[in-house]
Amino acid sequence: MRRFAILTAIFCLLLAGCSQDQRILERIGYIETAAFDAAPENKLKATISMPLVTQFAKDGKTTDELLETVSNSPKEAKSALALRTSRIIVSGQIRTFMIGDALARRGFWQYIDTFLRDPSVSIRTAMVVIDGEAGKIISQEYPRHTKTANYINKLLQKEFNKQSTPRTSLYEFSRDYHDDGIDPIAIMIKEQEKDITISGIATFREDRMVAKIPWKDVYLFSLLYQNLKQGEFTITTDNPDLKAISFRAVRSKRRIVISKGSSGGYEADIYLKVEGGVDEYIGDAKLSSAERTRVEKLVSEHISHEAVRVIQTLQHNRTDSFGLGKYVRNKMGYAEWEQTDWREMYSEMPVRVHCSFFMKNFGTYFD
Amino acid sequence: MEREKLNRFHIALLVFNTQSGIVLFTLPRITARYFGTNGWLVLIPVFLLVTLNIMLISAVYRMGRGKSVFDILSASLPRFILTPLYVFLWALFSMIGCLVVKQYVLIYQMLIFPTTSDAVLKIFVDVLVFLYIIKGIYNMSKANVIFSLLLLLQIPLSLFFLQEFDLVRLTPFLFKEGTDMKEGLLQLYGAYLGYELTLFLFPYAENNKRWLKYIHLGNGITMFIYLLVTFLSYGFFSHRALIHSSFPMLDMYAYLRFPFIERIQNFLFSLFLFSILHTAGMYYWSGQAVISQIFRRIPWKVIVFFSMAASILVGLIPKTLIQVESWFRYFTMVQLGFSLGFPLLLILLLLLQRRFKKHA
Repeated sequence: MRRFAILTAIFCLLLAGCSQDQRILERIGYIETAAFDAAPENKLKATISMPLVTQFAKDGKTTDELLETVSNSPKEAKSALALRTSRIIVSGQIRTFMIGDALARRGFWQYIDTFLRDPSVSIRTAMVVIDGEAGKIISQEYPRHTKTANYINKLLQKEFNKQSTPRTSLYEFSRDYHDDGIDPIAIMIKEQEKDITISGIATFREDRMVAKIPWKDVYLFSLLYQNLKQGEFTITTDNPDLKAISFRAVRSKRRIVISKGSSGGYEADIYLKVEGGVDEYIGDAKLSSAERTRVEKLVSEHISHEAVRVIQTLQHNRTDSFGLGKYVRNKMGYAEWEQTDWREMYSEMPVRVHCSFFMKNFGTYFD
Repeated sequence: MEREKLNRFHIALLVFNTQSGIVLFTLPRITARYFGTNGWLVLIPVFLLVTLNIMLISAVYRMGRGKSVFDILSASLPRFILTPLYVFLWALFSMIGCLVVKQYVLIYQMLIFPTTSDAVLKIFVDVLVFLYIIKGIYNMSKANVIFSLLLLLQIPLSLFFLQEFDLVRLTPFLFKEGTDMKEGLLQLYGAYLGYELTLFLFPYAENNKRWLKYIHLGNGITMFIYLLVTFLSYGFFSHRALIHSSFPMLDMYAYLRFPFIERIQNFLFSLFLFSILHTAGMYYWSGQAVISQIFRRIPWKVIVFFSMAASILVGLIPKTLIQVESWFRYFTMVQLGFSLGFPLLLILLLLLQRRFKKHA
């Protein structure tokens, strides 16, 4: 028995020698951020950023290697870039895909293929559309921040976790792309002087970006898009009772009801139940008194009104980012849904938003 | 000394772990592709069919009063019929055992060791399988308790998917946009295969009929896990996205992220090695049980060794996952015929033997 065990051990050790899949950190370059831009003649400009771990690094610091090429596909770009680096390029640590808006408007599903096919690419990789050129942003240094790739990655993860914007990763994007009752979205960032800032949300029709929701409307978009557990937002209006109000720990619930109107067409009612604590309030009302309900009502009306505006923009662009289509589809029979030209119907569908806002507390200041 | 008997509960886990395995990774896609919207529901009628099939097996046990299937066969059939039948069954079981390992190894290669030869990886697993089988069926059943637990302990992970789970994605449509339902049924039935090997456990089980219920329990656990995984993935991806995912469960694993570790899918996939070990082990063991009826003098461990060595060579032929799957398809069909036909044949023989006894 013992001899057998020893033989087995020797056998396993010998077999282990056959493996060529060694990965030694100092010899590989793992892509942290991959940026894609539109290039002339329907080509693709790919820029990758790889942090390098070297034993020769100065003062223990790591350096970033930046490579750029023009090609027909992401993996062709990878092989072209591989010729220029001393490292083995691997995709297993990609955290962010950045897509320049010119490419986003051209449509880029064909390039996503490789990221879904390659098992080493995580489906949690963030999908970002850049206002401008993606390659330019990652080749830039932002002296007041950490290294660019890391800076963007951390910034996005923080915002996703805070739920101030919907999470847009490869998983959500491909899932919504395939589903017939919803269109994908992606978060947008841009360069602002010496920093990078989140600038809004890109909404897609199939895989083509068609509209941009500006940052000031993103909180409305979030409320309409998902149930919030910890959001925060600020409202400013001209009303003397509501010059500015800020909420933290916002929890919201979204309910979509589809019904048939008197004319026989489908109509949507979106019910939003929002609650949050007041963080800041500039206005004439006293929040500790009964006037609070007046402010609550004002906030509710403001949200309902503004949300409808956001939805109308989307309807105008025929992009169903909230997935109203899923609800309409589930209301219909299969044959009816198949015959429906959903985009056409969506663009003309009456949508109403009913928001009921509830102030959970008004902080430690008593007025 | 009284002979050791297989614990009933161990038999349930034995059945469960033989049935489930690598198919869990593809099951959501198979249901989505062949049955379309809400295809996960088909798992229930297939489960009922399997239950009927298990009842046939129980009937054999009851009617034969626990006699081993080989005793029943040799009591009525001459050797020149039995020998080719046994050789055929041995080849069938050994090949299924071999393909199970091959399929796992090919996925493993794709994920983790893309440039390592799959033959080398397969030999690694084969060594384990061999060591597992030669411990004998009693120890296999005990080790399998832990193997099954490793799989079942992953159930709480499903809580992580509830955040992204949306009932609306399931749609109210029943089996729309499916393709070939017949093919789908075959594949789903194939996913449940493994219970038929209990036919060879008769001599090792306790002497009363109570343990037969535990085959159903094992089958029930399998259905529960299958339903859980497919239902979750329908709400997590929607059926259209499922069609385009080779291994939906791997993608779901890839979505998991813990504060201390990320990308644990490779680790979780590696845990399935134990399930593969057991499934392959059970098939090789059954193959050995059958062929031992012909070569009674040769020690059974040597037989296991030779069956594995023979199947390794055949296992080198299919090079890709798609090839393995299409091989599997044929073996599944034959195995299906065996699962239904073999108990029926045994029942027929038992009836004949009974009548013969009465007349004698």
